[in-house]
Amino acid sequence: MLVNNVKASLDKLNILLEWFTENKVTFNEEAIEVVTYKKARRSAGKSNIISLGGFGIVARRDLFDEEPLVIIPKTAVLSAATGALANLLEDEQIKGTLGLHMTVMYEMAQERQSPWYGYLQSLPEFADVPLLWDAESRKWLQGTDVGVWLDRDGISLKKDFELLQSIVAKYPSVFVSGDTIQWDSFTCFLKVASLASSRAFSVDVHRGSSMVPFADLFNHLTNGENVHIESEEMVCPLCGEAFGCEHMEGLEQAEEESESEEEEPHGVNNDDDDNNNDGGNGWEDDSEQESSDEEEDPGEELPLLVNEAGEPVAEDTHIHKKKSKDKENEDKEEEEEKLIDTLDIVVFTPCKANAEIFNTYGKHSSAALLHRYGFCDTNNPFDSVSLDKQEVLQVFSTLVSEKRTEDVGKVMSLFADIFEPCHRAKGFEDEGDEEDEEDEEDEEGYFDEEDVPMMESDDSDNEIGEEKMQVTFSIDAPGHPDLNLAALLVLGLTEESVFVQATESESIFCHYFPLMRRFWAAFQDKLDAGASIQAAYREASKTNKVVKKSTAATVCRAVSALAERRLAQLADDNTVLGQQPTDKSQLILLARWKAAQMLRQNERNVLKHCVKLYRNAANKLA
Amino acid sequence: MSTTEKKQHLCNTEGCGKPAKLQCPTCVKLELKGPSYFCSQECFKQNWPNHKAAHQVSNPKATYNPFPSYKFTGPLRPVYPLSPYRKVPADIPRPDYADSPYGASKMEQTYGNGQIVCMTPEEIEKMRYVCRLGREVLDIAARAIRVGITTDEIDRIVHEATIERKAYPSPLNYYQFPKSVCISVNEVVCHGIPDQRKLEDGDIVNIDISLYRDGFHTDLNKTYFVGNVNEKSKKLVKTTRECLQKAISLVKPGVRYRDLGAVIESHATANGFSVVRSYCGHGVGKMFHSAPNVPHYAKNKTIGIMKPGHVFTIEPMINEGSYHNQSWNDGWTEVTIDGKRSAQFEHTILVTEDGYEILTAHLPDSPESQLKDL
Repeated sequence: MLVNNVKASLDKLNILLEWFTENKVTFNEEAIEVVTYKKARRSAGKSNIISLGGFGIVARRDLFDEEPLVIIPKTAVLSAATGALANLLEDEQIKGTLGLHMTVMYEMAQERQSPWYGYLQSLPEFADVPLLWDAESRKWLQGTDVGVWLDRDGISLKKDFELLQSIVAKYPSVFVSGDTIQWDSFTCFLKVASLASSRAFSVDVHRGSSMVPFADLFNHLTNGENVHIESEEMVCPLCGEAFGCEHMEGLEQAEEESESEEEEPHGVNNDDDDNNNDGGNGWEDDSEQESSDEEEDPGEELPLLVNEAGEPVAEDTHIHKKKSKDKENEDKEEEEEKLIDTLDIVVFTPCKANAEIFNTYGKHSSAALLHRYGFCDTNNPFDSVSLDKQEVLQVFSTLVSEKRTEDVGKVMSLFADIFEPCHRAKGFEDEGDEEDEEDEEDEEGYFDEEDVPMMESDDSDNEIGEEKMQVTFSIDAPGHPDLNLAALLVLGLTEESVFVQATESESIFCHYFPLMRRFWAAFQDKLDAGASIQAAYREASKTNKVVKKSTAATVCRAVSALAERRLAQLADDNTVLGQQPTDKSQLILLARWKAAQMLRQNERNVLKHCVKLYRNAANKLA
Repeated sequence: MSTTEKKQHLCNTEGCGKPAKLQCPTCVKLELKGPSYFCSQECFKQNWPNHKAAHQVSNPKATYNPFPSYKFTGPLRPVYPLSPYRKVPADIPRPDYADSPYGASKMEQTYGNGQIVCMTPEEIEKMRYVCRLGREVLDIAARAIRVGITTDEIDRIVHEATIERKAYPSPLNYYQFPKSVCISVNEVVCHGIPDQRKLEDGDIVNIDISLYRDGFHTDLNKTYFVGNVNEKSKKLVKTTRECLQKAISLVKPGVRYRDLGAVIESHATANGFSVVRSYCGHGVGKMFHSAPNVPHYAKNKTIGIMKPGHVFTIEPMINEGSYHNQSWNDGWTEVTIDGKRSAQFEHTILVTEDGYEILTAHLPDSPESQLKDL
């Protein structure tokens, strides 16, 4: 049995490797190796990924910083915008993840006829995400964030599936069920959705969320990734070309022209810049030549003048120059033809020989990881436990008047977009620096998926008329309220005149609220750095004086109360988890049970830490 | 050498005024009386962008190769000068690129690769009409083919037949294409610019007609024999024609555009030929070129599923030798990289409820196919 499995996954791997060659997906074979998961050594006890016939990447030798490992032409990528169904999806106005799910299902349904067969056949049947778990297993998640998301995403996926059914009915000759894909099966749909959600990431502005062969062979390790994936995201939004296309043709020429007009001052600037001096001169020469070429190229060649006898008289040098220039042109043209837009996987953190090489799927909490990918890690600095808006209001009602509680509720809906989630471990972006930070990320070019652990359509178009952005709060690792929550608590507890003033208009609120956040950010940083409660308060007060000590004490008490309530919802493992499954024929159940256990453990750690820390803080500050 | 009065010439560069003894070789060859003297190659170079316009003469006595240092891949050469830009009467509606600075079509530039237009019955009617006009013009051009006619003369015939039908010749100024039809001889794969070359006995010549009327473009082409053509070329042209037929026979709703290439490639390779990869069929209608993109080679990943109302071209270019191509310095003419011959056939096709309709099909009075007895 086991031997068969090993053989089957080796066969799959060989077909995949062949497909890579055919599709010009190349990797440095001297540096890395694709292995079936059984062979991969994962850092002991770090994670609960289980093998469903998956693969991993192992270093053959020590890997160095910024070493390129894999080059994936974007033509090998599978996306809704570039798949066979693109025009049907366009006609039927299908956007977001459903488009990708349908595209992947369609290619799978073509089996060996699909140009992606070699890739698709290598995928496991599904990713064992909780959405695919049976009711019995789901009970293990009761009280965790995943428990809440399951209901929400279940509904949304059902909606997607219903939409899919209407389209399948409309195009019977296109959507033909077979052995691999049954279009009318919700389970089949969920399985493909689980694969797509757990593997796809955003490639560029044209392709959007895509399946990227090879990139998805790397497993995830929270905060321990070795590689990053780089991609040119700014491609033509209409066709996905990175190096000029008919959509850009006139525009490009116009740009080139205006650029060459600006060339002079540009060159001068370069010369002034000491750092660029050498390079600057080189470039200038090139561009001058280019611009003179431009004048000649579209029309005829410049002939050599003739004397009265009709003989060409030009200097030898000219002929020579001309020839070499032509050759240059030829070379350039050839090069241009070879320009292919690719995704590049490069080493980000050096890696030792024989170790597994990890990627990061993003800075996700344990719940988000389990929900979307079907596993979670221990010691996750991005851990986070959500708090429902209603729970927060309930705690308010124990502290302030009913009217104030109501007013706070109004503020939450009124200024919803100001409550952007901001997990401190992921880098809290101070308002002023926001743009810079974004720029930096763009340059790095790795994919940091949004921290929304959803599987459903992410297109807001569908949501028109429905609720506005949902405000969520959280307790974040190691055990702090998210800054919005802390700031909101201060605001809610403040005296009436200040409250009225601060919430008078969006602009005033936008000014006031970040001050509160900054105070708590400083407070939490100091605590994490090992300062005493009093010292942390003093330091935080240096940022601004808006938070009185007594208010801070009440906020801390409210936070610990909230964490306690949330902890109570998690309930006791013995009751919820029961005995560890022992049936050896049901290894998948054991894996689920362990994953649920780890998630519960991680969430509980965060909450417990928070209760302890903030109860203590409340006492010390009181 | 006579010592009688010798006229002093001055350099034609403005503000130079130096005595000049050197002349522009093209002016000499064309026996032009204009400003042909320059003091130095440097001055000549400076003047070139303006000066070369003087070579555009309507009835050239002498012709020349505009790219003497280009490494041609086969025996064919461009024969300049090109005739002057042909005018389209003002009352004929023009496509958006006809007057745009780079000949770029704004409309084409705003349509994405996934947007395949489904035409309404009214639009299909207009399309049928414009396609029939296209066919008529192609047939007129075909009847003009003979040994000794210049491709420029065929361009004139096409241009006039087009405007006679109150239509605009789509190639004219499309991304600055200088003529009203693409004529591709022998090793030219496509996009040949009509010039002063005379068709020779044994040539194969492709005439690619596109015209625009009532808001729609049509697009079709055929490869013809000039005089006595060798067996290999006959086989090439016949095979190419068959490739097109085989691909068309697959067309019906639900079929993937990417699957057309396989049948073309397998038929071409079975006959020892190769399929050009860098040019594809395309959607045609309100835009000259739009989605879908229709590659003629196997194992492509092109977008799209056929639906009733789609209108697109299939236009395989099949080469005797290598499938690689390169372009001349005119930026248009695509030639085979080994200089061997290339043939092409194209139709505009409508996807119907249960199959296809060839909108540019043979008319009862179209010239008889030269492939009939092969």
